[in-house]
Amino acid sequence: MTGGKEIISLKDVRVVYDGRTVLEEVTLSIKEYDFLGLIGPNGGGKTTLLKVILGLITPIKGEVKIFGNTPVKTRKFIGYVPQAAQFDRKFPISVWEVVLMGRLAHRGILKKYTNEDKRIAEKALDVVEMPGFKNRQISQLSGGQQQRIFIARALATKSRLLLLDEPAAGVDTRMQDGLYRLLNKLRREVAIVLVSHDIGVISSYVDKIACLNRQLFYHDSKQEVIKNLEQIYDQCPIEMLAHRIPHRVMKEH
Amino acid sequence: MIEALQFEFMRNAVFAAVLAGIACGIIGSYVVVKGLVFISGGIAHASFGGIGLGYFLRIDPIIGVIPFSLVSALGIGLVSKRSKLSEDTTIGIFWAIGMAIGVIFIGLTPGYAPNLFSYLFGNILTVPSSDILLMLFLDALIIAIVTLFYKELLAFSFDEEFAKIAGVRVDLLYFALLGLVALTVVILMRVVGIILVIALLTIPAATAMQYTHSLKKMMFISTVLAIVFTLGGLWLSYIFNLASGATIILFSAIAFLLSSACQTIFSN
Repeated sequence: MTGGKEIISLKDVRVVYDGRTVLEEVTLSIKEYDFLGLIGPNGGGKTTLLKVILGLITPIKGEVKIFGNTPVKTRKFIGYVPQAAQFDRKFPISVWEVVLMGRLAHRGILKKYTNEDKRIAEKALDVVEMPGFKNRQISQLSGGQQQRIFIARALATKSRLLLLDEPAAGVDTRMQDGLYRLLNKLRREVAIVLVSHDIGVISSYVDKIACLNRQLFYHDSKQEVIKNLEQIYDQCPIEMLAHRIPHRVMKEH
Repeated sequence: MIEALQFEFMRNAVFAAVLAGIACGIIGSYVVVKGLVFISGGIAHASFGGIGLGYFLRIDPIIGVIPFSLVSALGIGLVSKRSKLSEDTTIGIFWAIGMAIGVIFIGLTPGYAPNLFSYLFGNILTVPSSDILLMLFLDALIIAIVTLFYKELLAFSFDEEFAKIAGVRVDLLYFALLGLVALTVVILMRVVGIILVIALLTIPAATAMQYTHSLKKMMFISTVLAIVFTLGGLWLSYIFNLASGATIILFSAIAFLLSSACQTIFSN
């Protein structure tokens, strides 16, 4: 859990959007093979933080280093799974085309996808347990299956860092469990940042929890965070807090 | 209809239908899936300024339209990306400015503006051979660009953010796509006129989308549909002695509605 190479380093980051401070004094360090759960209320800046890591939003203050370099230079080495809501579900594209898209950064302009790209995409589909779905259209899949395809696309980038923005939103409970089990399997190979507004479920999978509500409340040990949640709660209100956490903590012992 | 083909204007009309069909099949598919319908309408109408410029300079209006529609595409794209104006406000402004410039130029041109009506509402029966060659060249350009950048355009259309993270210059691609829309407007202008261009950019693609889940197939089907709609509309206008551009559009719209109705009936 400790001692790995640092892959994300944020120091005193401040983001202002239309005159409103969205992120303030955010400092965060993520090392190889970390699995961080990023929780917080809606509008607390979770997606903004991911976009800062991806170099899509530039902070007005602070330092962002991804793999030791600026995000714009290194973001193609990040596997990003965006919120499902942003896709046009009717878009005429097949599962295979979506997963191959993960190879885009590796295949220069004017070049076709190679057999190696296809092999990597094929393997990514195997990992998310969707090998038979290649020729399906994306809209023919359920919400949970679509999420697996987008995770496969992120895996096909061969990144050492996965960022997932609310992957369980709109996915039924049974599929959610499968999704988390999949992430649990992937964490042996990559570092994962998982954004969720539901601490209850993710706290049993992740090994670090950070709570973001404009500022970041964060400890190296998730037990610390969970123990102190009630104090943090004032600054960082989280859903499902009252009865689900204690059960999950008990299970760990 | 067969004996009609011995006339040059009739042969040119068939060539024009095929060349216009290729452009709106390919570019119309992007317009529909990427939600560029209104922006394309803006580019098409703003191009009227180029027609006015052509009359004023006493050159072929189609030569005036090419730079004008490219510049308005670039202008709409730049202002809506870089300024705080919302995209649809920007489109509305460019739409009106382009048309106003066209009206002023035509007013400044002494005498009567011949064929003005055919640029507004199209007249596929008066396409000269020189325009056919121009359309052929523009089609070749569109096919070349779309083939070379297919995987980038697909990623950009489906998930712009992902494309950007993967290192694709999405702003450049956006302007390139708007530029291709502008060239398609030029190609379609002779067939249905700038006022009706937007219909041929959307109806064949929207119809094709009901039958396929692949962008490539969608392009192919909408190309075929656009050609069938154009020739079918032309034939109907010939039989009933109606304006060809408007008949082509109404024929396409009816086919689209019938297709949508069939889809609803058979999917239930």
